[in-house]
Amino acid sequence: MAQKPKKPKTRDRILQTSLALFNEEGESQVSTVEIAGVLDISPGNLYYHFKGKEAIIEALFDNFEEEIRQVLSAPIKHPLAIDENWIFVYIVFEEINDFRFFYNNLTGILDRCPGLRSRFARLLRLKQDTANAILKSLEQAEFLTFGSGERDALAARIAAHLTFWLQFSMLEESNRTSRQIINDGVYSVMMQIAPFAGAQRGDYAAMLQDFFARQK
Amino acid sequence: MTKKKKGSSAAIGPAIGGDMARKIWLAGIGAYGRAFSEAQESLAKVSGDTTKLFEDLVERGEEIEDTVETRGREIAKRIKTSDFSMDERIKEMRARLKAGVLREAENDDTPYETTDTNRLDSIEARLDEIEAAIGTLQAAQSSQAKTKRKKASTKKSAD
Repeated sequence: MAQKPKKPKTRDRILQTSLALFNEEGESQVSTVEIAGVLDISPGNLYYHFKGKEAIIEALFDNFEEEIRQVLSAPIKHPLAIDENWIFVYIVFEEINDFRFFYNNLTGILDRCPGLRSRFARLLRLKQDTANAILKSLEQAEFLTFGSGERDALAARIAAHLTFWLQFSMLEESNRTSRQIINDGVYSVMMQIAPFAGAQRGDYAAMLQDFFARQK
Repeated sequence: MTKKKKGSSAAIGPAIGGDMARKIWLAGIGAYGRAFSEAQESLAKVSGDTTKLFEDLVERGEEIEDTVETRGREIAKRIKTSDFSMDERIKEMRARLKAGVLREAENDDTPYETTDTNRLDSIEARLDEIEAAIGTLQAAQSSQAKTKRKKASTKKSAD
């Protein structure tokens, strides 16, 4: 499909600017008139593309959903190399951080955009499946050992952790940067795995503490 | 941490489970240390064989394990300041995730909705043009109105 190079489409510019403004200032603080103002287009032009802020949020969700699905599906299709798993957790957190306006106000936004409810629920299930696939590969490598039901429970806990970590960190008002919040989030995921590392539990935890201390 | 001869199969450890924590640690050092760029190359070569890659990284880790033991602090500092880059690793893995997905997209035989997209593009371009034209027109009208008002007031005063 050969296409001539062209300037960014107005629709894409609206989405990019909206996402940046929502993430920086909080979605509830930003109006469509402001978005049009920042882009230097008329509110009428913006309305031609999006019939209101909810339509913008839904289009942003389309993009986010596509991208995070790509990422989350990877370890389900092919197991990652053992030392790649935590790089992977970083990537998932980065994806969520790029869409933080949504994660920081989940109930509020889903009330206003009910069409996204079931799609978001499917993403939650995918997060669990992904966590489960990774834990399973670590179990098969004899690094982790699970008792009956423990692996599923841990996968659900990791999915919940991925979903609410940013919100939790924001409420703490600890003045950490996004980078530090992501770093601490990954550390916390990795630490939740430690109790299942059997005899190597101590070594594993020490390794994590050492590594993450150096990331500060 | 017990030393093991590098390069031999014994270096990988007698059992997969028994020495895993140490091996992950070594794989980490192997990837973050000087050998990182080489590791990336071999990663590309053996992307399908993750076990081999892991063993390779363990070996690299063991090669510099002595240094870690004798100059622990120093190497930790070096890893932090120079060769080590978490960002690089994240970037590199992102690229591979994307590549994997792109290959799938190519195999996907669902047709792209090219016609609609192109049509939307041309409508958008037209809309931008119209908006620009309206802007110019409005500017022209307002200056024209000013002139008219001026003329009218001149006419009035002449009467």
